[in-house]
Amino acid sequence: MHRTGTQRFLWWLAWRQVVAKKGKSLSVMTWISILGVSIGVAALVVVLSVMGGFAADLKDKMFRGLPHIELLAENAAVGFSLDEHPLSIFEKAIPDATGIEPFTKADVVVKNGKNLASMVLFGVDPSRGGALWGFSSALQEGSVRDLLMKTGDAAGILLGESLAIQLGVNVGDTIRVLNPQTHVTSALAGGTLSLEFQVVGLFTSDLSNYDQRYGVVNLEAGRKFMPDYDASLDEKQYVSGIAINLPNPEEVERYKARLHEITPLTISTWQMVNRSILFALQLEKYTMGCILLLIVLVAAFSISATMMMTVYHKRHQIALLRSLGFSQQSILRLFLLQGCSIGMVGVLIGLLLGVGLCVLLYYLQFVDLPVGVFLQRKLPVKFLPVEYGVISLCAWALSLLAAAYPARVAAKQDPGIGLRYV
Amino acid sequence: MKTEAAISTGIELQHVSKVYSIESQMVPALRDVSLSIPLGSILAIIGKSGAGKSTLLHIVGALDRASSGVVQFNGLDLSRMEDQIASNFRNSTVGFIFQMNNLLQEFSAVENVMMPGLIAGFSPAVTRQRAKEMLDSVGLSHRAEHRPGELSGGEQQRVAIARALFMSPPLLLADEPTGNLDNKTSRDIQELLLTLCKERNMTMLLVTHDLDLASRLPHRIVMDDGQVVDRGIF
Repeated sequence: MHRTGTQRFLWWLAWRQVVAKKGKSLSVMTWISILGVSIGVAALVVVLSVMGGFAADLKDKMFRGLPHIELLAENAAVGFSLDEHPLSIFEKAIPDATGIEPFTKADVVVKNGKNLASMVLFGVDPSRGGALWGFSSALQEGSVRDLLMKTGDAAGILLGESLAIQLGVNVGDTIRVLNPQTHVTSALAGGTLSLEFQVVGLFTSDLSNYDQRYGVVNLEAGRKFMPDYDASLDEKQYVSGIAINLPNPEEVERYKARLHEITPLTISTWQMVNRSILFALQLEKYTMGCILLLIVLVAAFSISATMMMTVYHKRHQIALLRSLGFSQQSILRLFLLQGCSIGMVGVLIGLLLGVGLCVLLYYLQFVDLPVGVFLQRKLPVKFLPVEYGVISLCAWALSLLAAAYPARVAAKQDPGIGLRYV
Repeated sequence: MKTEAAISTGIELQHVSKVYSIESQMVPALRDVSLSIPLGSILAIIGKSGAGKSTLLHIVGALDRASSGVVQFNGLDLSRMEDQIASNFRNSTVGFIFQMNNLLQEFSAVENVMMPGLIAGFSPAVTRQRAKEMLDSVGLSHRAEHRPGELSGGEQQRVAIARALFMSPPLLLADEPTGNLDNKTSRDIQELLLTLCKERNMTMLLVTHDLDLASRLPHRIVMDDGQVVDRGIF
């Protein structure tokens, strides 16, 4: 007869051994083990997908809210001259950048009548669009180009809608912006103590720190609020920094290395700015993953217990197989394959359940989030194939590990003793 | 029957002892057993329960290992065999038949008969064909797809015989194969076994309590307390 190997036979035998006596349905204990693994895997898939959804949403806000890279002077408050660090250098170094814009940034106080508020005042170049910040795409009224208009002495300003409500102003109203950093010598040299601006637009970005704290003016007006301002800063085109957006913000480290080669300016990336929150997200993800993996671990114990029972109940059959020519190694492999089969079926059912629930959450969006607590209204879901793979592998490996001890016991069983038990 | 290892073919046991360790107690199962069984002979082993008959069978079939002494089959030393080699030996050279529950309950009659072939690595199609032929030879071709639970005791033993003969082994070890059957079925199975053995010129060691059967066989030994206490004519 022609020999074709025994691996397929072992799989067949292992599968038949885990099914009930009549071979039509799985035994109750096997079902319990499989369900344990399935529930663990499904829980992991759903929880990590929802957490991934929240993380992706948060990252999206990070990417929309702030530039991916900011080039700053060593003393960020003082700034640097665009004559010394022209934009063309950076445009050449990062030709695939989706935006490169200079900006000024200052902490100011804004006043309308008796209403006062602190504000971060951005100065941007309206001709470049200001698209690197979240406010540009969130304008409800007006446009960035309106910042070029001037009514009398008052330049235009864009305000976050929440801030505008706090100040009690609307488009067309005039507000006064005070510079708390200016001292007497600076003021005598042309530094700004306060300036009037006309509100030319309002934005609602869903980013609470934007809408409550940000105001945007044109670059020239913004420069007047830089510390130690004098007229020479206008000639030398002083700015607080240069903002750069990338086609893929996740690859920011690669671009950072490239920029390091061409400029002495300090490089601040979105990852550095949000380091603590990104770390918290990662930590949360791993912690939840490990905690939920405990469900699979409990299921693995169930597999082990089920298989120990199987080994005990089938000791006569194990001895029979040994008498037919099974080696200890073959018995070991047979029971490992049984654990592997239970694990695989459990993982597959768990994946189907978990991914199925995620698909339902994603398309039907039937879970409402409380308004006012979360910015989005529905539970976010992100599909994470790599994480699903890792979950499946871990669950499967745990199942295999759970089968190792019963398999060893079965392999070491004395066939002579096994044959005495019927 | 000879007591010395004077011939190189057949089964040779020289001063074989087997001691089990049960709950830290050393329990002897075989004591200094020496036997020489030529190929093609049929040997009846009789004795009380606990006399060491099954242990002797397991050691000759490389299912268990002697604590001391030498066990050889056709010059092959079974007492020093590695597990994998012993497994191959059992698969290709030995056919076992036990008293009851000989069959794997999850599998049909034909699947049970196929087992030795599948373990040896033969293709399922060829193995199934041969298994059907073997079932036919024991008169059970019509019960091929039935599970053991759906077969009578006699039919189950016939399936076990078909399985034991599947690989055409030169050695058949039967441990009270009819001990659990009624008289008529018992006689039928005995006849079947003896006929097949003679047809195939197999060596058979048959453990039995049936003195009538033992008296019909050309060779027999009596065991008691792990020793061969009588040999030859019963």
